[in-house]
Amino acid sequence: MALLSVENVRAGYGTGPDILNGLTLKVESNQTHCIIGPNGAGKSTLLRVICGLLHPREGRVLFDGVPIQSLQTPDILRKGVSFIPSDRCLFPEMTVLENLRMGGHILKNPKSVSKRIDEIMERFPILQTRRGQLAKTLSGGEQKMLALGRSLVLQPKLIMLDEPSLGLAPKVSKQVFENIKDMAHSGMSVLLVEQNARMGLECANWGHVLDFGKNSFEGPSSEILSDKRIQELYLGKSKPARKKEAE
Amino acid sequence: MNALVQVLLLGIALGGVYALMASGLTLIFGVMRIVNIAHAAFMMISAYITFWAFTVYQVDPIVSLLFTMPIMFGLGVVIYRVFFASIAGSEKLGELSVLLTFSLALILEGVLGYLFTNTYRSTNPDYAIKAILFGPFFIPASQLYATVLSLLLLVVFWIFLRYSRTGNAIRATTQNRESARIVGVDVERISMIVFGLGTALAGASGSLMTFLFSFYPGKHWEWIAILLSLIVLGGMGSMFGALIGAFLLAIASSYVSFYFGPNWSPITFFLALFLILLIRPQGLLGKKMEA
Repeated sequence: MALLSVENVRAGYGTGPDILNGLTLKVESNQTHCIIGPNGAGKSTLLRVICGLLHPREGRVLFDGVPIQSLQTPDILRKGVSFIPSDRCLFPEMTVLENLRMGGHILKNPKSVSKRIDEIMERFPILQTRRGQLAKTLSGGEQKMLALGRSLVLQPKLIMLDEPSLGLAPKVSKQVFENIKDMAHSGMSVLLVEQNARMGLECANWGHVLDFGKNSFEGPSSEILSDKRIQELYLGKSKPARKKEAE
Repeated sequence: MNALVQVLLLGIALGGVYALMASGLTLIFGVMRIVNIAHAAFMMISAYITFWAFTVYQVDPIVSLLFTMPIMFGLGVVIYRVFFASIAGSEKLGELSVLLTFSLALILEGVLGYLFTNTYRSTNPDYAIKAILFGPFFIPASQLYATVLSLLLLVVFWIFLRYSRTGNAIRATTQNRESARIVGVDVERISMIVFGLGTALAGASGSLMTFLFSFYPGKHWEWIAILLSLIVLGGMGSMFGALIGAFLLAIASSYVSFYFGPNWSPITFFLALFLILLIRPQGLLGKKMEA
């Protein structure tokens, strides 16, 4: 059974049009999935639906076989789903340590939160060094580490990242992807949305191409990486001739 | 020279009360982006409760904080649920909330005027006419008590924000509403609590106001104008900014009052408001508004 299963989901904001048009997608346990696609395809919207920030108009989202599409975010967090939005996802006027503590906000036991924070600081030593600093004073790469660390406090089964490389220098984003691979090795499933399609796919075992709110193509990421058509459209082999969809 | 120090002391002795008055306003703005024009009208409600408790049962106005704060907290929660729950945090409707709080202020003023008439009221506990001497200088006991108590309340509140689980959730929501949701903060519940707390702080300052200034229902317009200028100076949404803005303007207005007469004192606030909006619109400690 798939860890996460999105079935025929239709969703949009307010009274606006559907951004997701009957999207279906599965994430298997211990796998890293990467979603690529043009702007406006619904990539970020999908992640928001899965973590309960936006409720679908139609369709189901199953996690571990249990429907979660009408649950609120705290309950979805409790089931083991974490979400890291693309940017400005920290609490800028809080210290590194306070940000990590907020990661364990839904846990009532402060001792177990502290223990997990210690483990995370071991994993990301830079957070230990910066523990008393305000989050807004960290560099872009350090902020990303903090966001990763914060999402690990709840020991999620599935971690979703929206464009982890956004705004980072190439060297730094490489390091972030190394961290993502590490997380995958330690038994977590990863669902990744990435503009930098090549980097994202290289770090994943399965790829999805989203277009007009649908899963238009999927397969092992190595296949997607070598697919001629996708190379042209998304990987920048030749000049992309795609028309951007007006939202 | 002595006169200048004396004026400074009088300014400082009002600063704490101004800070307490402004704290609830800036807190609510920080979390919900609601500019609560009715904030000073809430102060008036609490002032009337305090006035009647003092007049009928001789309850000391300071002691009355023990019940005005919980009552105002409850009122704040109810008002939030009825009027604001559906629009809090929404970018578009957030702007409309000014109209909502404006009309709320009008309604409260009307109700208070109907119930209690437009007679000027104040309480006169025995410390209202005492002064405390520091060598050649004096501070009215009422101002000193009120400011010390206000600062004490603000310190307790600061500790609550800094160290309690709910307090941290409030700070997180102020700094990044979306991320607060993502880590599982029940942002709607936090908003409700914050509206209650902000109203309770208005209640506390309303009680203290009764022995410092005379009041009648329409008086809240003067107060809200002053309070808005304080928090714009300090930086909308910043508690510490409100504190600094309160002391700066309390001191400045007491000098203006000394040199040009008390009638000119209110103009200090509006002059400061114009200047700050021209020079540093985000306020002393505020961050630039993000698009």
